Amino acid sequence: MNIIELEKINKEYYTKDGSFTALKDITFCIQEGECVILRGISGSGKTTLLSILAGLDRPTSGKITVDGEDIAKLPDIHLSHFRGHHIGMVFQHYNLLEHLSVTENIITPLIPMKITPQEAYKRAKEKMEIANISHKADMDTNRLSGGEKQRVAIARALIADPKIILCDEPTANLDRANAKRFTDIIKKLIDIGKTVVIATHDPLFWESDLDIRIIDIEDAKIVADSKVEV
Amino acid sequence: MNTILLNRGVIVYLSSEIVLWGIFAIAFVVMISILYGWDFDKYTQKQYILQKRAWLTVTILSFVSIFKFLLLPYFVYTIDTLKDIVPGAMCAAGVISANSYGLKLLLLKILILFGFTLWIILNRYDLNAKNYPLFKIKSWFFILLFVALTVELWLDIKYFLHIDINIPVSCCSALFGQLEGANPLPFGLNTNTMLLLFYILYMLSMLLLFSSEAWLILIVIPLFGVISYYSVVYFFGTYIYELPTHKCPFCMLQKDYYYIGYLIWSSLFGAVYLSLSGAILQLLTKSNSKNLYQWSMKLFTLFVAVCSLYIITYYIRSGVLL
Repeated sequence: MNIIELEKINKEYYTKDGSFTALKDITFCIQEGECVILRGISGSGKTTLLSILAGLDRPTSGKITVDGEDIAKLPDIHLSHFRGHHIGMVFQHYNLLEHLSVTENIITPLIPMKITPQEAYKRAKEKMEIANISHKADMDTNRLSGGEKQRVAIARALIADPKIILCDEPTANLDRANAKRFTDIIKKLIDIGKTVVIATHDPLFWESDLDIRIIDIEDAKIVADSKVEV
Repeated sequence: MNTILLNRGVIVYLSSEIVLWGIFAIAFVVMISILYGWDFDKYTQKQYILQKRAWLTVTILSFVSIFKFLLLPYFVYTIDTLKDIVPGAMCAAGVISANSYGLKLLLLKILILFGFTLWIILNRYDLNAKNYPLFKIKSWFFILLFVALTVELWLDIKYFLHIDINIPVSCCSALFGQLEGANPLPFGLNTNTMLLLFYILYMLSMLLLFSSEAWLILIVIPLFGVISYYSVVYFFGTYIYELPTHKCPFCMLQKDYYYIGYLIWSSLFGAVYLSLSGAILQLLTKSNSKNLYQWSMKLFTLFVAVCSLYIITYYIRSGVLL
């Protein structure tokens, strides 16, 4: 079953010097439980595509359906709600609130969802275990290493139990050991049925033992779409 | 130059109306251009741009329309202050009748505010849905409202330009017919039957709002609104003024009566606007307007309670009725 469907997605940015095409006629589907790598060099359009998948940005034209919802047409109030419940996002620079503890950072997305504190802390504990960060639960995030910060970001992305996890250049700021740990967590996420989309150009992913599908993006267009099975 | 136009209240009022009209005029042009190209089923760049533009326009309109609601009491307050300039006027009733435009303007303002209440409610429903189901209806309705706003501005200017401070006006004592001996009440009612009808219609309105009977609400609430207006002017007002011959809808807006008229009229008009808008929304969308009806019931109850309280307190204090 397709959880993500894109049909002729185009994205243009308009500047003083003219327009710039970030995505051109992007069409593909992602099945539930798949792990998809969006591969391409910097500036190829993969982060733009990820932002559109996350509902953080809108396409200039084209149709995008995520978990049955036509998100390019959703009014902003519905889009925020949709993101909160259906999408977990791990940003390249983690986007954590530095003055809050690990647990507080993780439960932040639950605030607008009116979930009881007891339930929020219970969920946070579960997600910290998946992300291997339970031992730092009460520590302020500004005292964590890069790898630990990223695990907090993963736990935060999982807190609302979204079906889809999107990761933007997740290993760009990690050493090899931490990057390997990250792929182990991704494996766990796939095992529990999450759909994972990763924008990266790190060869670690296609050299790992993950069952992945690689979509190559070059100059705003898809140039290859292949399955890598272990 | 007409001295009225140099009054600072009139300057502020007219400037505000002109600025608001200017904003609405821009929105009107934008709305027409959006409507011209709107096709929600398309996934084109044009449609996405129109959706963004529509969102921005209606958000600005929602905020700006709040000022229209504030401008009606300010208009009444301003013409009330003009009583010191217009000979013969003792309150806004005299000033509003200073020429043939005044009463038409006031009625149009009341209708426009109902229009804005309905537009805001339609807009809220539309934005809360995922596919803009009422976009075309609310846009055409706004275009209609803009025509009314243009007429209103024209009447505003005509009204203030044609107040002649050299000609004495009739005020509330002569305006509402009590000196002419004719029965000023609607449908040939006398005060007692009108009062009975007032309370019966109040209870019926509560019942209809509680049971969300949209069609009946559209029939009964306007009737209750009319009966309420006459009841306040010809019955409850006399207890507010504590004078059986003083029958005026405006004097109660003055400081001497603790500005109680603002509470009475705003609760009545607010309740009528919300209940009618709720009924129209219910009929248009088959959705539940319970929340609007509940607010309407609260406002009607506040209105009836305040009016009734004047009679009760008068009776307790003096032991007689007027």
